[in-house]
Amino acid sequence: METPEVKHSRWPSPIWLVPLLSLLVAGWLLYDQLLQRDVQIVIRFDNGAGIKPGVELRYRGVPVGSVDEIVLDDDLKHVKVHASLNRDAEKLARENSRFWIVKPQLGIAGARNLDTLVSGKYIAVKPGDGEPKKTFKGLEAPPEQQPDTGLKLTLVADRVGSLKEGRHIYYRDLQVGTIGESHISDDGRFVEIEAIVQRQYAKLVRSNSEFWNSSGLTVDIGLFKGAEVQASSLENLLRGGVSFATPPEPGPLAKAGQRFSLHRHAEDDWLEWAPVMKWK
Amino acid sequence: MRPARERLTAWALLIAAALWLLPANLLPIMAVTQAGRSHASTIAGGVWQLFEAGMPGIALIVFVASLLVPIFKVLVLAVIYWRAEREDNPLASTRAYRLVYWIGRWSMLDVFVVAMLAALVRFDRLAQVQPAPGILAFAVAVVLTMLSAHAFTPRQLWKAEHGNS
Repeated sequence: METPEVKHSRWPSPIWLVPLLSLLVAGWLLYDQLLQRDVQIVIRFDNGAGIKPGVELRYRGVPVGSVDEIVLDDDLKHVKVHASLNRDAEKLARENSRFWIVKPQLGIAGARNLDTLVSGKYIAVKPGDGEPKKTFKGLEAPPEQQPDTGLKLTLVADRVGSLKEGRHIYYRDLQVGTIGESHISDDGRFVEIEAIVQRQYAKLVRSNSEFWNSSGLTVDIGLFKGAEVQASSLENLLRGGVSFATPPEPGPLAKAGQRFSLHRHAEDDWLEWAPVMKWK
Repeated sequence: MRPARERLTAWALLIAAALWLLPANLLPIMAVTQAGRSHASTIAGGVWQLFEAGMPGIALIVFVASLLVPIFKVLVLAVIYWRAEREDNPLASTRAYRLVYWIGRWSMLDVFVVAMLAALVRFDRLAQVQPAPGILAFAVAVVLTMLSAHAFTPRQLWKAEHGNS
């Protein structure tokens, strides 16, 4: 009988492709998941109520990270929130990025962030434009209510009425700003209400502008003219807000921190003021 | 297939399985989202959570079944393959091999549990379970270990005494 010719392949068995491929894929998986970890950031808040490890960071409503741990600052005046941002959201951590805690808001004219009642609070982020950064100072209120985002004015009034923080400022019934904190003036005779007009509308405010409280109804009944009811938008009626108008001969631009007196209601002709102002 | 070649295949698959055990144990196997909070846990992390939650018994079971057994299987197979050439106690090795082979079919329990949870726990924002990459690596490691054990025939352990190689 012929002896069969035995040939030995010079190549190793193809089965060795399995461990080779495993090494590549498993190694890549490890590298991808472990070494390119989430970006660690630290946010300092004055008050960390409702923030726990696991609380989400969201940008435009989408989760982009979560809180890892919360520690007290050394001076006991802040809490430091250590959080990790997903890798694809790395660009959110840069200078001028803003972080704030979103809480439920209930009010007569509307409710906001009701989902946080069920899911708890979360931290929202608004990206900045500077260099990448790792530590941030958290805001107590959403950035649109922050003084440095617009022209900050002081309104002087007899009483606060319904002008609580977060109420709006209207120009021709269009929202152009937000009411900030109120406090009693140094001499105790007035209340001073902080008003923040958004930067893009800041040029509408002139030094001779008039501000009035546009919440509520003004009912004027006279013997000869009948009854006259005045109210701005329904939302304004319910929530309370401030409106302003600028006279036909607009003065120079209002300076930051300028004081205006807040009238109880508008004079008739204020409502007809329609000066031409290049506001852009 | 010739025994040497057979053993080579078994070795190759076993090495691949051992490689996959690394990501399987180091990466999270599932992410649990509860009331808007998401938490990813590795096998060891899950064991530790069970222990801290006051369930040392279950923690021990999970520790043995999910962490020890897969590593133990790979090690035992490696010893069996290593000694196959000059086996002096074929009976013990055969028993160990049969044990490993028998355990193999139960090793997918973790994968099954994660798959069940991911499919059943879908309450949107209230609670959600999502599989994470670790469980995939775990499944691959288990499958490769089983294939490796399958590629090896315990008959090789006995050939030396019968002298029929």
